Amino acid sequence: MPAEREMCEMWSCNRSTLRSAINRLVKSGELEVRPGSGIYYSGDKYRRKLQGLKSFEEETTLQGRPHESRLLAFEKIESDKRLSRLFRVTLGTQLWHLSRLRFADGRVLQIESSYFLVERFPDIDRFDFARDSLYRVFEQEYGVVPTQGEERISTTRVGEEAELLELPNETPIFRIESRTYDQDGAMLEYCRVMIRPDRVMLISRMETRLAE
Amino acid sequence: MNEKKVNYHSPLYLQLREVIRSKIESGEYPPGTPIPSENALAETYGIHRLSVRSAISALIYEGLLKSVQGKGVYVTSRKDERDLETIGGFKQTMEQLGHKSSAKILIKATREAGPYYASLLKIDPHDSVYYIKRVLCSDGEPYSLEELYIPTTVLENLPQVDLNVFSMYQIYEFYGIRISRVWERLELEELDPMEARLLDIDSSFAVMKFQGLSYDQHGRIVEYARTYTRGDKCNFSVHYQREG
Repeated sequence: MPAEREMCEMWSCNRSTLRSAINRLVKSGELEVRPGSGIYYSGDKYRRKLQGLKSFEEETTLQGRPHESRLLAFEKIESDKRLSRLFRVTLGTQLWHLSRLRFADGRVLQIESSYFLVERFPDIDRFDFARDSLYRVFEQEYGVVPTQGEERISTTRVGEEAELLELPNETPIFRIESRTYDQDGAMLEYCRVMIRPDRVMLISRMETRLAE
Repeated sequence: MNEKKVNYHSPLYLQLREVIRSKIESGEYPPGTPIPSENALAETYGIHRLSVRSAISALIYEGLLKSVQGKGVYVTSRKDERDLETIGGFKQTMEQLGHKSSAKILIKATREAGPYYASLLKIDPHDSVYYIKRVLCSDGEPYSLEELYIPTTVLENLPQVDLNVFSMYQIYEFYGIRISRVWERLELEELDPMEARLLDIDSSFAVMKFQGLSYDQHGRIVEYARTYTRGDKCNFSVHYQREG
């Protein structure tokens, strides 16, 4: 971006007006301030489509963004009350917990934590989920097709994930919880995603389902 | 790294946050009742008041708790769920959810579209548009700040219509316009102090920013809307399906 003084001249506005305009764009993630260097356009946000069941790997490829994932956890856990209720299993049932840090264009975007039944995918830990897509493995290796689901979008403040997401503590972030069902309507995956709102926007397309 | 993984190594405020969350979920702290005071919680769990405060602040932010000055911190009712795929105006949605909706018009004017809005609405920059800025309230509490840009050719009689009485969707219907498709994008943003005041929030509070482009049954663009919604008032849900 041009220097502050130049922009003030260009639009004949005063510095404080310019600063508050820039501030707003910085807050919404359009611009980035690099101390000692200037103000930069931070590039397009990653578009996360709310409808459709594309994996992160597919979606980033589609948008032409190099992507990367870092495995944070891949372990067996025992279901607690909440997860038991979601999967309709008894307390203490074994679940896989897969947690990944997602990057696109070399920048961290989100943390995804997935839960699915060990019983259905007993040996799934032979796959490398830093590279592979979970949905690809479900589908091609186990014949289980993620078919439909629901997502709940809310906002919260970043807590323990702050460091991984490279955000100051208590920064507002998106939190999405999703439940995905397979071709037989059985609960397949529960997933919780913490998303950096300055790097990701959520896209939705609505259509009236006309009764007539 | 997320609350399922909160264990005894986690900072105390995070542990307490999950304790309170699960007490709300299990109904031990019912909606409408105050949770124990900061001091009481600090004493019960033997932790510092500041930790208690940070445990509570995120839950207030999520809308599970509400702080009432001079009284305490209360468990709120469940947040409103809005289905992002069902097209319906604010008024209709709120009434379906059993709330009384109202709108306060701040600006209603006709202006030249200008290059930016013209490109969104696919009209000429010199064409005129209606610009409407209003605050939407649910049960009297500010909920959303909305800005609408509507090409004047879409609704020629809009200047005479009372927007306090009718919702935009009702008005469209009067004129035979059926919204059949909407593209929406959702971002998180902080408001200017002035606009934050309109929503009765602090400017450090992030709001959900929706931008939507609505098409009618003939595929014509009828409206561009920018809406800032308080995240503590509402969750959004989406259903998804395999494509193709």
